[in-house]
Amino acid sequence: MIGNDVVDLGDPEVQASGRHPRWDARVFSSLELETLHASGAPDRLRWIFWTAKEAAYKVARKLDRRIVFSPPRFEVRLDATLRGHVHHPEGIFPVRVDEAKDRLHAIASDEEPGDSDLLEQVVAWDGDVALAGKALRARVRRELATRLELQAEDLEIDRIGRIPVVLAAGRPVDVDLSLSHHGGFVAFACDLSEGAGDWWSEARS
Amino acid sequence: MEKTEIQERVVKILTPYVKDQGALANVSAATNILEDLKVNSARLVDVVLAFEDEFDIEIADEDVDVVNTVGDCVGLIADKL
Repeated sequence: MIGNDVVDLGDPEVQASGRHPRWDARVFSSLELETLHASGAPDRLRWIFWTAKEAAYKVARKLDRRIVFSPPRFEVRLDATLRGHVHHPEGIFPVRVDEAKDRLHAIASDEEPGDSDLLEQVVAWDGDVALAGKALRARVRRELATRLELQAEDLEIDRIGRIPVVLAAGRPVDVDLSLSHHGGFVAFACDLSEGAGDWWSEARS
Repeated sequence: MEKTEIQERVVKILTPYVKDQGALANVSAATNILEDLKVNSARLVDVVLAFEDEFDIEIADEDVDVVNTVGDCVGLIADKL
């Protein structure tokens, strides 16, 4: 299972001035708060932690729909290369955060990297915010069609709850998909390994 | 407190975090906060903290998990007052 999340570091919302004074205490564990306070770049680290939490939550929710997004319970522990794990009472999720000057992108899974056949992209989006989701889904259909040797118009992105799933001619496609949008970026990650879509095709039936 | 007053205060708190300002013109109890107003999840933390301050209540993460619409917010807050 896969989860991804993108953060636009240039978005005004990322700036400290707009954040509630209790935001950090609400979001981070005591260990994360200690790490932030000791960091020379707490603003960047804050969003590294956040994006890793979000990505891991998307995996956890697929494993168990009863899991809620309680940010401090998704505790992020990363090495200097921004690889590591998100620890939650219900599981430990491998995660990596790719950073560029203007954005962060986290990919989490329920198993160690190397076992998945992964398709992922981060793309700049400067159009109407209301259309970002539609544009992202169109891109996913196009990229998946190429990879799976299908026609993009035959692919449909449906949802189970808020979780995106892929259908071809109304039938489940054996992939596991995660979508994300923030500010000027849209992103997706798709696990194409055999059986990746079992969890949701079974849930759907 | 009447639910209409709670909704007015809820929308006022949400407004600075709404990415799709056009959706605010037709806001109602059925308006979805993430999908219609395009409030992102990081800003939702600010919204919840602002609700706590505005209404002098405490909101657990479990409460937030079942909130999708403006009406859900109003109902949650009304239950806690």
